[in-house]
Amino acid sequence: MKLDNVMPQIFDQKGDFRSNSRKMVSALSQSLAILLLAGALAVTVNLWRPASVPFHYQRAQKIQPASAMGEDVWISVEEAAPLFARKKAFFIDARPSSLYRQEHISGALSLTVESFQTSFEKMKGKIPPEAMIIVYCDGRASERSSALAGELLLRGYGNVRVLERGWDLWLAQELPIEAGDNPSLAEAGRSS
Amino acid sequence: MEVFGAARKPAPGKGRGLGKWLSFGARLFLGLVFVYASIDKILHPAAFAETVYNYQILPNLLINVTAIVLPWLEFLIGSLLILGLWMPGAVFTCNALLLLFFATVLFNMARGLDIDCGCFTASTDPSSGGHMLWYLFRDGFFLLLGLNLFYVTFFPSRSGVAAMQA
Repeated sequence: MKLDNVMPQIFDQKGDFRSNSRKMVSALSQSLAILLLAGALAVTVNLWRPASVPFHYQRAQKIQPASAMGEDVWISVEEAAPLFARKKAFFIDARPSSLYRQEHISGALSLTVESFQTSFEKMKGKIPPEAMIIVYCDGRASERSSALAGELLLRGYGNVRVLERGWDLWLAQELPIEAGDNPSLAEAGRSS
Repeated sequence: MEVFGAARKPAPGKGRGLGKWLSFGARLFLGLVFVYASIDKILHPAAFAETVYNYQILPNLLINVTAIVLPWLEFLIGSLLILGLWMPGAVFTCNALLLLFFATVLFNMARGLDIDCGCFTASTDPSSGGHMLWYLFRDGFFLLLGLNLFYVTFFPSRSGVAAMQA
């Protein structure tokens, strides 16, 4: 093998090595810059936006299913309807907000587990801790309303009920419903 | 702006043009995927925090910080990939994230958790499930594209595809 044929390969490999080392240093420094830039953007936007998220996650423990809260957490539509008529309870719709906008129990507020962190702060000043709150969603398992009821119980609301097969039975009994966006909390307030 | 690989011209060949276009396509595709995936999460950080919580991997202290910063990181990486800027850094962090996502899905599958991945939307559906294999396949495909970009960016002379902008 001639030396002329071998030498360029050796130089090539050295060149590759140098070039790749330079690229790795460049990659690491750029990665650090990207991370810092993303962090700065994220923090700035989060502080600036109206519904900013706290930096510390607020859920104290995992969501409890309604079954673990005891039997007295459930309320039937027959029991809830008179409370609704006499304005003795706050109704909270735990379904996704898109479904809420289509139709919901008249005067109900929209609050989902997903929006809980941002919406709860607005809500807690308007609903006294001793108020009766009836949470509903659709479906037999009432997963969303159970989860939300668990969150509210953890936050000190002691009088929370889950409406059994809430939305479906409310509709079936032709009780009052309305369409539209979330009413302001002041308007929606019902005396407890 | 430096152009990596420009000094070392690869040997001419039929595959070079095709490889270049494939890498260009992978770069644009991954860039768009990252930007698209970030939008809903940037708009709804609180909902995304619930998704991060559902993964049951991070301590509470890091859940909201991750939910706030990660979408912006995805957005930045996606934008850089689309624009072809800071390629070594963008490709490196892109691969690091893809590897992390793939490992996270694999880890949760291994311990029997079946969750909504929340990869492209901030909100989770508690009733959804049974898609873990699909998530793994999809993330694996993205990772393959990312590794291709990595190879092309860091070994242009071997891959036969030159000139990724730095």
